[in-house]
Amino acid sequence: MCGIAGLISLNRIRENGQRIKKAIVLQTERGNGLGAGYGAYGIYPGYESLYAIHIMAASEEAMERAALFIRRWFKVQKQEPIPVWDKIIRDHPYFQRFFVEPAALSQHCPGGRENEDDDVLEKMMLMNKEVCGAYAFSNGKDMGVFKGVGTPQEIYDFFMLDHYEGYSWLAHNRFPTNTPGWWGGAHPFNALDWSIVHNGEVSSYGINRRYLEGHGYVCHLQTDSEVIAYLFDLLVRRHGLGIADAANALAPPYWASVERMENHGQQERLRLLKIIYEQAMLNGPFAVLAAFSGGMFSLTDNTKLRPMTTASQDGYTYFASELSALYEMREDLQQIVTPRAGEPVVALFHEPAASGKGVAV
Amino acid sequence: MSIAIDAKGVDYRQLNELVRNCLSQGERHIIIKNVRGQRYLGAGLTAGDLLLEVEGVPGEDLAFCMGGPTVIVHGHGQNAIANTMDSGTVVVHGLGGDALAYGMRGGSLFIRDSVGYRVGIHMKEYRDMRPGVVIGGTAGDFLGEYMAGGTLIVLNRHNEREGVCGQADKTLATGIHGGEIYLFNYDVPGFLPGTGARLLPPDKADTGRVRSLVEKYCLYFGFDPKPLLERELVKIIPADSRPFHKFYCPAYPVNS
Repeated sequence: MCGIAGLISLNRIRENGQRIKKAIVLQTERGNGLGAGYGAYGIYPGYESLYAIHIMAASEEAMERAALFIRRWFKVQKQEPIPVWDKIIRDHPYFQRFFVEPAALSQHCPGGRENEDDDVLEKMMLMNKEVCGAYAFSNGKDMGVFKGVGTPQEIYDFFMLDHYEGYSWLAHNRFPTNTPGWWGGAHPFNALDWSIVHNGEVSSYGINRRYLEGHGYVCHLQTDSEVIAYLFDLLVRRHGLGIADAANALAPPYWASVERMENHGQQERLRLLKIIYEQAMLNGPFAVLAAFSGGMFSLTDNTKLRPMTTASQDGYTYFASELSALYEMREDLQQIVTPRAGEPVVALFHEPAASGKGVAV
Repeated sequence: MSIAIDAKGVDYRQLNELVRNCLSQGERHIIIKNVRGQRYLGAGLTAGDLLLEVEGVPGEDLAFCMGGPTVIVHGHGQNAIANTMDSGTVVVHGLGGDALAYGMRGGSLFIRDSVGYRVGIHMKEYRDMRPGVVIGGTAGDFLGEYMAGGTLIVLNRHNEREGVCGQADKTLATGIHGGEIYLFNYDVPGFLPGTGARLLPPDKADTGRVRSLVEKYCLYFGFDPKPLLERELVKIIPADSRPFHKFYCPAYPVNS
């Protein structure tokens, strides 16, 4: 029973975390203080072209090992501690961020991959596997994930998110059930520019994980939700699916509904998606909110076992697990849209980012 | 005479405590203003003459196990309204969420607009206790699943042609073994009703119970009941009095 909130300015108007905080703090009862987190896009102006790698480490030595690893594979333009207010949470990991250029681009390391994104993601997975006590938990451009063990209010204050301005924000309040409540296991989960927050459980985790491993993804964060971020990265970025197709692959209609369809083009497409992506399909109850460089969208399982409500007004779209939380982001909402099962609610920026690649809907 | 409570920023435990304090001081018309997501409002209250008005969006489990009061929500509702409610009335001037009227045992629930999934699961009745639910718009899958009593009405006020009572196969009234579901002006696709549900052919709203519930709905929300009641409606009832008696292995020699 986790809580989710999200907001996006379709015109890329930046704001600090106040509104998203109000929406997730209102849903404090949906978590139990063992995990909360925020994701923000557009927060690193001046560094838009660099990958922003956020690292958490159990000790200064582990952070040193992580820094060495990053310097071996990337050209680091800037390294700094992520500011935290440790009076809020005294027992916490060390946090640093690195703004880097990929090796292939910088010619820093011969043998870098052709595709920068693949290269960065591969190195991040390698780091999480090989560098003991340190985790890269956010590695997209001009965005960042801030998460940990605490309530939504505590994590907000800990990372001092009043000081960041982003044009799309995600938030999560965690109630860990099947997996441990630890700093790396809080949401959002990130893979390059994809971040997801998830309420529910991925009962198909084993199958999804093996499928992803076949495509080079390694799951290190001990939480089932991790696979969802990698699946979107695989389906949309690497395979080039549109969001509607990706949603239909992950939360497809039942076979009976597909076989009954009168639109035969759509029917054939769904058949193909269901067959090709059988092992990517997410089973179990879930509501997911996913953000990426092109926008944000929600998705629920095809029997709607977890809640999601949305509202769009004046160039903004809002998402929340509980309807009341939408009003925390905007008082005078005119219309609430509660999507039906498996139906994504998609909000895309009006103009793509200069560095962003277009994504089909 | 009424008394107003400002709920702005008040934790749900404290808010419910305030309501109970007002009640014990003899207040019988309580208005809670600026409600935003506070849970369990009206839960467990048993004063039959209490009118509780909620301005804003109340949180989960509104009127949970309530027995007697009238709750009027001036705003949208969330999930699990009238959960296991015993008696009384809940009126919501807006949307309803998922799992409304779960295990509801009596009283009535009126939702002006549409509702989510799993509404009316396990509603039940006993002698003169018969819950009634009227949904003004449409409902999601699993409407009236395992329903054991009471009356569930989907008014389909805007005459939608699809998705009026769910979309997935065999999810409508699955396992129903008591009570009745009425769907207005909707040609129910054959794949929708679940095991144990029997669909009766379209008819007019001639029964007193449907008419009386729809008229009450219209009274609360200011609609004209006549055109709404003139439309055809279908009725769903259990296939027989014990639809699942062959389903289980007779481990015990019952009635032998």
